[in-house]
Amino acid sequence: MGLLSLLRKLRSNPDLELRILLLGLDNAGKTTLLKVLASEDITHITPTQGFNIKSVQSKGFKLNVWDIGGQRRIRPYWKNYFENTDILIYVIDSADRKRFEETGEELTELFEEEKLAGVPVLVFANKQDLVNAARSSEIADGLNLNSIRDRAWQIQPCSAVTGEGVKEGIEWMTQACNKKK
Amino acid sequence: MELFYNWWTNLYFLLLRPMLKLLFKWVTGQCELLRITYSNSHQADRVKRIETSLRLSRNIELQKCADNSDLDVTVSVERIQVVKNITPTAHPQFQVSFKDSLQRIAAYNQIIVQAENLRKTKFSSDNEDHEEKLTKLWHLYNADGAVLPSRVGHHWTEIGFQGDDPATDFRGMGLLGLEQLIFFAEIYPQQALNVLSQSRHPQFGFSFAIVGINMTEMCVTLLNKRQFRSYIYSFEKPDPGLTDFHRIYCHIFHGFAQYWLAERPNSIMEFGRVREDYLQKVRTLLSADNTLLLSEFQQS
Repeated sequence: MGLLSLLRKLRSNPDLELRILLLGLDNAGKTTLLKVLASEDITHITPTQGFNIKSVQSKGFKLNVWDIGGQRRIRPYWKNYFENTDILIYVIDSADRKRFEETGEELTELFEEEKLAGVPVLVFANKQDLVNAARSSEIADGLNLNSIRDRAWQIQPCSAVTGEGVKEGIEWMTQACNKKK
Repeated sequence: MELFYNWWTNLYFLLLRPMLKLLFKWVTGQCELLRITYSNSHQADRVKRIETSLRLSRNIELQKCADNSDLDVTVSVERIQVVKNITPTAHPQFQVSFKDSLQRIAAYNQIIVQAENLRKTKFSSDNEDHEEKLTKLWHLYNADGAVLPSRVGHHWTEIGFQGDDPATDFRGMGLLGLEQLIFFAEIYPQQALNVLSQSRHPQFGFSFAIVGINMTEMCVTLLNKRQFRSYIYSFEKPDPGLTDFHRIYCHIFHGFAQYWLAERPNSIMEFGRVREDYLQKVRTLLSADNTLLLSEFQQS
């Protein structure tokens, strides 16, 4: 593993900056994920009014992560942040089954956006630590992810609170970008 | 640079400060606590200096006094007089003044503990008490008597929750966020309703309840960093409590709403920037010695 990560480091450009857009419904866990990526405390999180942005160093990439509030009232502003996005991270509360349909509709709309055409998408099936969480395969079926042909995609089960699965998602992201560049 | 700073602070706290203290003690014949007691400073300043002195003490017993929320003040004063070799008959003023300082420090710590307990209590829909509070919140902010149509529904967005179920919006602020929204409307109904109606402004609107919860976060962070000391230590009564903290919240929230309007933001997406600017402004105010954390409407 040590040699592999060293090789990976040599291959990637250390100054490569990625613009990452973090979207999803309110209470999906976007801000918690952002804080976990930045190794910050997650006990004082409040609903995001507007947006948060943080720069995180990871595997030779500088990740500029934009976390935009998910409440319905703010969603019309999402499009202001589409331009130059390298990766879209879409976060889903796997335990909020009542809103699977709503989150699916929002994601479908994002797929139709011209400015996001071809942008790789990482779907985080978050809150896997909750007992009533749906499995990521179930969510992938519900969202019909398998029919995606025009972009790279991945669904990653995770729990932002425990940190489980987050690293794997980021690894996929950096690989997807290495392939793209 | 950081290395130099670390090196310098280590040198200061390990060597220079104790040497200075010893030197002062030789010259004045009094220990640091006594000197602070006899100095002619404001009450808040005196209590702050006592707190710092206790915190930096090498004596564990003294150190603990700085962070203990249920300190037996009378016993502690006696103990410290013995430890510090202070004769009560020679320094009668010390006992009174020092006791007063300890009381104020313990009261501040008590507020931290109480606020943190509420904050760590997650809002739970299974808890009747929590649910009752939520209903109360609805009625307080619907002064026209509008009934709560249902527990879950779009009507919650009218008072600025994000979606149909407010339960998910309290997050890391737990019950404290709910309590403070209730307190604002209960104690200062006119101002609370003013802020709510301002939040519905077509151009400069915001989501009232979640901004309120965000202001709870601002207040609790400042409280835990002991930034409200100047104000809380300057109270006339020696034992301010949680409601005094809630009053600060009302002042901060009301102040933010005014600041937001004055900034004339382009859209809600500017919230992060405006909040940061406002926080800077609050911090500057807090660094002054006699900060009054009350709005005009609170000073009657």
